[in-house]
Amino acid sequence: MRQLKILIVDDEEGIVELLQRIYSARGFVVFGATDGIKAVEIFEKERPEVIFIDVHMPFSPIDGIETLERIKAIDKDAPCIMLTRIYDEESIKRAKKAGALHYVTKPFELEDLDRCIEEIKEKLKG
Amino acid sequence: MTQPDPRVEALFQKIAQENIQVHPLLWTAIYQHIGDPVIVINLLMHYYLENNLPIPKEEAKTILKYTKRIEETIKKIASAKDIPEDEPDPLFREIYKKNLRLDPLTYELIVDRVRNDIMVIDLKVSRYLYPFNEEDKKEFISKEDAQVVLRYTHSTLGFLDRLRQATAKKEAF
Repeated sequence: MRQLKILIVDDEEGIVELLQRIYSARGFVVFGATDGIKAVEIFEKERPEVIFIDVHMPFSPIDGIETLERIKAIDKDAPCIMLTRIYDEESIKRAKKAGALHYVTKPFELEDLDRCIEEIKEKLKG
Repeated sequence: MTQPDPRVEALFQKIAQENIQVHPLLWTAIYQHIGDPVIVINLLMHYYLENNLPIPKEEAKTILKYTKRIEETIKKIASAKDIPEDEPDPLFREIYKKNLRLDPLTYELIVDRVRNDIMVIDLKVSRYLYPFNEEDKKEFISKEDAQVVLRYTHSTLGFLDRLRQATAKKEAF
């Protein structure tokens, strides 16, 4: 069976690199981006089935919400999970409005991301 | 680490009683320069343990790079006056400009919990780079030590989440 493609977008390079290593070792096809523009490019080309986007990316030309909005403009069904740094109601509201599937609060544990992936896998099976 | 520390519990109680809140910019600094580095260390250990791979001692350098960043951040958020004027990070420059600092109770908690956890992690891995004796001269970080590091990152992540719930302002920034 073809493995899921995952895209990880976070401006903390270490997080992107290690999530790529972990999920690649589990057999997923994993792409990483440390800025929103690059993430949109990868999305357009690779069409990953799971996308994790950090909301707060001060070193990215576009923030996580705008990255989400641009991805959704390409494919409104793209399953995006937002990684939020704080109980930031405004960002969560904007993310929901733009069609985010879930949000995970940072700092996260690996299990939090695993649960989101499992849920998407189940949905795709159904 | 596993038993609730009465001192820490008392500090949390005081924070609740005094309705202490942490400025969103300081929380951003905590997330970005404490939370993220802890996540990286946590994921690094996960990767090697999950795949049953030997952990090269050079990874201790990676861990120490991140623990150093955490230590520096703790110093910076304690007192804005300690942040140098030529600070390259715009977030810290803004904190400096606004003269923001953590209140003493929250700072004490962070020092108590985060700094202690980080110190244990430092001690666990630094002996692979700077062996105390012949026995310490190993090429790989032991699984037992990796498990300890992982446990302490879980402890820090859990603490940060609790502190966030206790002190974060609810409005957007």
